[in-house]
Amino acid sequence: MHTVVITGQGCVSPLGLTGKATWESMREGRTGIGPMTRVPAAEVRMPIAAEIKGFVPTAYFDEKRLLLLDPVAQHALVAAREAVAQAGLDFSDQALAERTAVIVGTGAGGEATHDESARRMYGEAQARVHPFTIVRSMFSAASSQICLEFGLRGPAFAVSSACASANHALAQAFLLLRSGMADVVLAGGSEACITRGVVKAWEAMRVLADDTCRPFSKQRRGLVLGEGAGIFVLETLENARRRGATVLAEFAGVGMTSDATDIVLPDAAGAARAMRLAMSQAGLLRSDVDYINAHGTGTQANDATETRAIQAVFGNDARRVAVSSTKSMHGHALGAAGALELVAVLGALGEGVLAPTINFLEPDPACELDVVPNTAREQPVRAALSNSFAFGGLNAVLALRRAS
Amino acid sequence: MTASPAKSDIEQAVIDIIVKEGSVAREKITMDATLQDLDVHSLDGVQIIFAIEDRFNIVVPEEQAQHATGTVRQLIDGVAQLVAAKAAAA
Repeated sequence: MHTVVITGQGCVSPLGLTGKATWESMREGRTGIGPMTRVPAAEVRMPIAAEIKGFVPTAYFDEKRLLLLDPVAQHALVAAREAVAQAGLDFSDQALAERTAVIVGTGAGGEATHDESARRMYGEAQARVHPFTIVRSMFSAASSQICLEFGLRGPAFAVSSACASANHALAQAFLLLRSGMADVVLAGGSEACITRGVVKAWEAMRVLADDTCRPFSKQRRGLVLGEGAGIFVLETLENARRRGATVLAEFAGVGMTSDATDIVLPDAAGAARAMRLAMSQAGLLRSDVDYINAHGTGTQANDATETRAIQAVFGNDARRVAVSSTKSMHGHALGAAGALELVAVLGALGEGVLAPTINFLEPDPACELDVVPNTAREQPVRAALSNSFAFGGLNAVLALRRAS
Repeated sequence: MTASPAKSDIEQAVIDIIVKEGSVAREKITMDATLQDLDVHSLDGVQIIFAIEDRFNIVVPEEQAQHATGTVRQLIDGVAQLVAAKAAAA
């Protein structure tokens, strides 16, 4: 079995257009949540969202290529470029290109493209939709576009598990590397879900907050939709050493479970089992884990259930381990959530700074955890978990260790 | 001003919706029961509000949709107020 490390990160998020900018915003506890602009405020009941700001597609792609790219692929490509540049990979090496995989998670896929097609068909009664509708909106478009951009020829596909998609994609990357099926994987998640169709669908479920996202607070009122992409370069330790790459962290284990209890309500037992499996594969004791990046959506059900799961796994250590939800800043980017959150985990492991849970008002007795309220904290982190628990009861937890 | 449905009609319609969408036996429903007491699943609770909105052509605001905590009486009173407000505005 190979040891797996992370050597590059790229991110486009409501907190910044790069991984570095996103991390700086997290460290400073800045909010990415504000008035919704993608959908007219008059048409939605909760006109707030965490939108990417200042992203000009033509700054990254020429007009002809943009015709092929739904925003979900644009976000993934921009993040992938940053990650590859940081890792210092040269894919003109054909042997390396054939041993490099691409796995991108998405929960909603090409929703802007679907909305546009629906508008033409039902709104304008047009007989034709755009000829690139399929290639823009297929769930695997982002993975294919990354392969095309860098000439990558190894295994490539999309992964979808609603709000756990990014973590499931990163888990697949880990498994490919560990088993020797690839030397390098570009993996993460991408989402561009602030569209009329998706916002109305979430609105109908009545889980959106009308004020802001306040994970673990007594006053929490629901989740706030976000968007963005995080793409990471994972590779075997041998490969990283051979080329003298800087290791950002060790990707040490994954835990994946299904609750099989309810289509929406999370189950503490399923979440706890995923955390235990990740720690066990990583060889981590509960006393080794200093930080958990929570799923922490800010809904009543998630935060209380996640607390019970953490308490079940960590026992007496549950009050010692720091737990924060960066969704308080970047919102819930659904299938990209775990990827944006991995930026916070790499920051914690690399710099010894815990990104806070902002918008925190008062503790909830049902969420008795150290949630790093409102301001970042300097604290060395030896190992960390990153939780994603999706609707439908699909759970994926990542375990990471500080680079040695 | 258009005639708005009588309170008893609203009460009957809301109970009918709870029976149908929440799969609750009619005889179990009391005014002081919460939907949680009646073992209504949270997703069915959302579906009940959706059906009520359709039936009366109203929008139940988020803060009134706390069906998991409120009683059947509170739900009916809330709907009656929204229906009355809509009639007054017409």
